[in-house]
Amino acid sequence: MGTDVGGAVAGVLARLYEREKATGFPSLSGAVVEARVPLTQAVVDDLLLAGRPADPAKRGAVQRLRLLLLDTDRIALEITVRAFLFNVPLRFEATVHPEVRVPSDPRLHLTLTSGGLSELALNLPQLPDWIQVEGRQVALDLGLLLRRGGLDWLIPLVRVCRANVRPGVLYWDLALQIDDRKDTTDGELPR
Amino acid sequence: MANFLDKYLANDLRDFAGLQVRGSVPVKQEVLNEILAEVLKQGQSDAAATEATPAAAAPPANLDPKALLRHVKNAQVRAEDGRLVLDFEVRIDG
Repeated sequence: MGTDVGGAVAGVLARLYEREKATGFPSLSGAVVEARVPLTQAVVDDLLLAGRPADPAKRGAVQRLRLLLLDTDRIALEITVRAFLFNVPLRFEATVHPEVRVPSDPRLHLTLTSGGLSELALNLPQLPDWIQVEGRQVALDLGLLLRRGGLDWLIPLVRVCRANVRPGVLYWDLALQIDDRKDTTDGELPR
Repeated sequence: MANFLDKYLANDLRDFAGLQVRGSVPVKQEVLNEILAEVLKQGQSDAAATEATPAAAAPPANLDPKALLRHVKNAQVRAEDGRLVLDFEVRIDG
């Protein structure tokens, strides 16, 4: 049987990643990564469906939730909520504030530009907890979503986070940095 | 999330056309030595090395390192201040 070098390296990298993630990536201190991540409408749809039951009867009050990527820094939020025996569709349009102040406030802020504020207020208790509304100001709590996806270890590493909406695509511009720290491990990796 | 990852990998990451990642990652000699030790162990005993790799750390089913390497546009290692630094650029073309 031949030696699977690739498999061995992949295995040790996977273990290293798990170990480092738990301790803030001390072995990678000084690392700098810049990324532009495009999320197409199809990917955004997938992400919003994640964890939602296929059976409408098990979805609770919010039957449908869709984020539409309209135009430069403009999105629409389509929500269908169940009210008594009826499904009530709501649609709101909003401008996106591109800057996300990570790590202090890992939320994407929006200002509603159209859609019934009173309808939104009436249905507030039924909205998912990661959508927070105060008057016309809406915040999408990315930190909460990352925590639920087991990715909250990313938050302290983010130095720049900007959302750029274009028709059908949401671009995330990110800069991550693992602060350079004095090596106190004396050659030993954390176990 | 793992299902999504498998789906996108099966689609050769075409859903993420336009993705760009570049960076510099210092790699400590201990990490390199650990990788070397694992490769040597694998060479000496495939069975033992497989057993030593926890199932939880297994990569996703559709993760094909060769296919992913196509997206690596640049990678080089340089020595700096007593450590190796990996500079890389990954881009998924449309």
